[in-house]
Amino acid sequence: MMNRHFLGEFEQIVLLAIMRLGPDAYGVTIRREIEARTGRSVSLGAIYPTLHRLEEKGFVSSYTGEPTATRGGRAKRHFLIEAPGMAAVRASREMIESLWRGFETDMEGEG
Amino acid sequence: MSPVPPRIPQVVRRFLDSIEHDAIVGDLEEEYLDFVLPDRGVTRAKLWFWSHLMKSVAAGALHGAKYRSKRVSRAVLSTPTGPFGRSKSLGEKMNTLFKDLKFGLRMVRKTPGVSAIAILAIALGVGITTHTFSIVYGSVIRGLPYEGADRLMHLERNNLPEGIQSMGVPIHDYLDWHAQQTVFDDLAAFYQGTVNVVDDDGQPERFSGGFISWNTFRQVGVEPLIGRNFREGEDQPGVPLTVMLGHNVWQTRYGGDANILGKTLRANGRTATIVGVMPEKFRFPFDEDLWMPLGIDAAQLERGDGFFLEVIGRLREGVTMEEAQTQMAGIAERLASAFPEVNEGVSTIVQSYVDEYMPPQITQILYLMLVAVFGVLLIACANVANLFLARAAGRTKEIAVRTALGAKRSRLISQLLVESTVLAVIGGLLGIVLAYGGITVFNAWIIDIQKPYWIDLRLDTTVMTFALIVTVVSGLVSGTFPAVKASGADVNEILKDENRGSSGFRMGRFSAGLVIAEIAVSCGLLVGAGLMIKSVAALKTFDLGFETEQVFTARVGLFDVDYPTFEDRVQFHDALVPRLEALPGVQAAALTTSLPGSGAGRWRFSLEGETYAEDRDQPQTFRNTVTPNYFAVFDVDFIEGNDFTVAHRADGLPVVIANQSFARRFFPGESALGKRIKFGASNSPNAEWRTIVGIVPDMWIGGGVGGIGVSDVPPEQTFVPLAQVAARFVSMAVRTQGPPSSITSGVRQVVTGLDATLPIYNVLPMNAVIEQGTWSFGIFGSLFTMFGVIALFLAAVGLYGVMAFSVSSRTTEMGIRIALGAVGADVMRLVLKKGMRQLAIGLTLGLALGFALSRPLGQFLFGINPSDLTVYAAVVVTLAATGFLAIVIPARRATRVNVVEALRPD
Repeated sequence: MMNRHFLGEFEQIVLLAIMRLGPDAYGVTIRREIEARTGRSVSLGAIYPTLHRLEEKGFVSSYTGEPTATRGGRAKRHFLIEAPGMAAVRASREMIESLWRGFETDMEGEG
Repeated sequence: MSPVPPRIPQVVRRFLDSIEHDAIVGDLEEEYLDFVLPDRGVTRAKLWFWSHLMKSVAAGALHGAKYRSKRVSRAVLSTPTGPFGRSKSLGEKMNTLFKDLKFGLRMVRKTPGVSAIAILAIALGVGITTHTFSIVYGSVIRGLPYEGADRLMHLERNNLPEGIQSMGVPIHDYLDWHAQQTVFDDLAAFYQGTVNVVDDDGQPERFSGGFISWNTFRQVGVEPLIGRNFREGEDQPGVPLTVMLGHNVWQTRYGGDANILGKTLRANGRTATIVGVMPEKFRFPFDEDLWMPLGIDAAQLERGDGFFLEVIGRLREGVTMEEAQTQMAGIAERLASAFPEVNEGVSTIVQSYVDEYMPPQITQILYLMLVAVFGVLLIACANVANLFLARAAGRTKEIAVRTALGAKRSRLISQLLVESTVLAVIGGLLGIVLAYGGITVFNAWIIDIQKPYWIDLRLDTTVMTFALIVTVVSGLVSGTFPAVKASGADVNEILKDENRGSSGFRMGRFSAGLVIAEIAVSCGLLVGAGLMIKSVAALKTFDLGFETEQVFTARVGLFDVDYPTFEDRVQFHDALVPRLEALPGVQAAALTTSLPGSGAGRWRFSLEGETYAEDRDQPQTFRNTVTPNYFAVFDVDFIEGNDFTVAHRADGLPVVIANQSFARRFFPGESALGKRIKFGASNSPNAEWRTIVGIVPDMWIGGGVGGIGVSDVPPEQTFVPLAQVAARFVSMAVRTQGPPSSITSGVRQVVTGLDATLPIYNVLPMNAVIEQGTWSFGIFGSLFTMFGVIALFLAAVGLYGVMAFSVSSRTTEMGIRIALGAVGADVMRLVLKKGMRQLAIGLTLGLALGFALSRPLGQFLFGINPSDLTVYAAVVVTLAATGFLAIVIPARRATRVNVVEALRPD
């Protein structure tokens, strides 16, 4: 089903952030990575529901990490990208690129 | 100290996504400490923290609801169903509800102005109701926090033939009650008193103590934290003295010493062994620090003599309060016929323990406040209802189209109701935040007020439940009528006539009625608020009759063990005053049993030459006990005669000083100087005739609970010399050159110099004494003012909203009128007329409401009449002016209608 592989913009952003972070992907780092790369302010409140959705679709998996002192002894929730997630990001990228094809030179000329 | 992240209140935590609660909180705290705090500094980091927390709460709540509803629907769908299909499953219903919720939220965003006002109205309404309910609940409803505490009764006596509503229980009565009753598990007795504590180390300290029968805590139902309770027999006279400490004393004076049991201290001059420590926050019976055994020797006392005790008992299982009252009344009758000289006319009062300690006036004003805030809530709901009516009118076409396409009416109503509930819930959450802030402020206000120890004002589960119910009910109340009305409009009519897309839906009488009700209720509340404000102002400018600046006060008490005789006490007082006067910076010093403004004892007395058939025919007056220079300390000049002198001692001439009201009432048209009066029963052999030697101006006497009802206190007062009475507890009043607090340590040294075991307590400058004596006016005044201002604001917004809507929906009509030659003034008059009529009716009803409300408010007013005309006039002017503005602004808009625009079809 096409629908299964279609990602929303924010889902793409979150997935890409998790890919960039590798094994160090959890709430704080994901949020900061997105902010640093996109310049967009995002809240944890927006990230967690998205992560849940991605996990339900099987795009990411999560596991409970070790608690640390600055977290008041609370455990981290780590996220890892799974194969379907990779495929979905790739599909999204290809879809966008195919739509862009032919425009690159024009745009560069304007820029 | 290493930085810590802000603490997240429990209330907020509950709303976080339950599944990822720990991860989210952990992330927030980690990022706060590791990144944001070092980057941005504390203030901005905190802002960051709270903003991210709130966003997570909002997202968590939505996400959680969706998540759960999905799970439910899956569960239901997978259940096998019978051959005839199934009715709409729970999951489908949840999905519908979720769609409505989404739609509701979209409507909130689509009309932000209307939504903001509705949310603000509900927030104010729910906030103020929750705030007030938490006060009422915490002070009079929750009661003692122990199991079965509602069965704990308080017993006392009255003597109605003598006009005495309430009096304590002498030891003999208590013992007879104890022996004869069968309705309580047991009876226990106690009284409250001062306990001066001295031990090897540390200053002497004064505590308030409970002197209790050995079984008291068993009746209350609380066990010691460490150690043991008093044992049977330990409350008898002549046994080794024991003491139980409160948690606070244990912590502050003994540093929580784990080996405290078995140690001794000197209490009121006697050595006592510490046998137990009570749990934290336990301060029975009222606000006590420690407990000593009762230790009264009934055999040494005549029947009816001795301290009055208070008696408590737990109702036996299955016994009602009425049955207990009946049995106790029977016992009282038997005692009355057995001991007529002391018990005639005496009956018993059995009531819930908590009721005894909450003055009925406070309970009354608290419930009055609750009524007032429900008034505010009503205004808020009326406002929201009106806004919805207006908005529904704007959506008439949309709704008609949907009806025509087959939408069921019930479906439309439920959708509109979900919308109003969404708004109410957002407003309600905001209201809870407001209430939380309000309670924090209120607790800070009342921190210095003496109050029963179990009073605890906070947003606990019950209060939160209340807030949620109020929120949902307000949502339904304010949504129901608009929803029914909007969904029931005649579809044909509306779809037929293009132009009447919005004006065809008339706001009608209901809306006008709402506005009238809003004005009336806010007018009533404003009358209450106005009276309270004026009363606070009257208090500020009230002439107390004495100077309160630069007067130091503190209390000191002498105990029988160390000061057994009259002479011992006089000697101590005689030594104390000159030493106080010798302190640097002191101008004058005096002792008194009661400071002005904090009440005084009331005495019966006889005028020389008068006879009284019965004691109850005698006149009464306040009587205070003072040393010479008392009037000088308070800068009061004599009208006639002179101050007491050192010659007025026990062996000298018995004398008395009267105030002006006393002289005028009992010696009208003549000088009271040289006249004689006698305190106490007319046939009392011990009382002596006292000669009036001086007349002073009235000094404010005060009294009551924080000043409640003080306006009704009669003004007659007398003063007798301390050297002829030798009271055991006195206040020092010292006029200073500098700030009063500067001499505190000097006074303490003087007192310990005379007796190393004596503490001083209640150290306060005189103006703080007055503040303590009048707190009720300030607090209840502020609360009612707040209610009034919020009510006024809501009513103004409501009136404005309705008028603005009514003008905009009549734009076409206005356009036609102007096109036909009406000028601005005519149009203005037309719009004004309707609004002003509503305003006038509302004000009339409101004045009547205010008048009714002001009756029970009377005793909380200081120095003004509840029918004070200026207040009523000011309220009418304020409301009329506000209302007029709210009407005129939309009306002016009507005069500027662009005819071409107005008449162009949609």
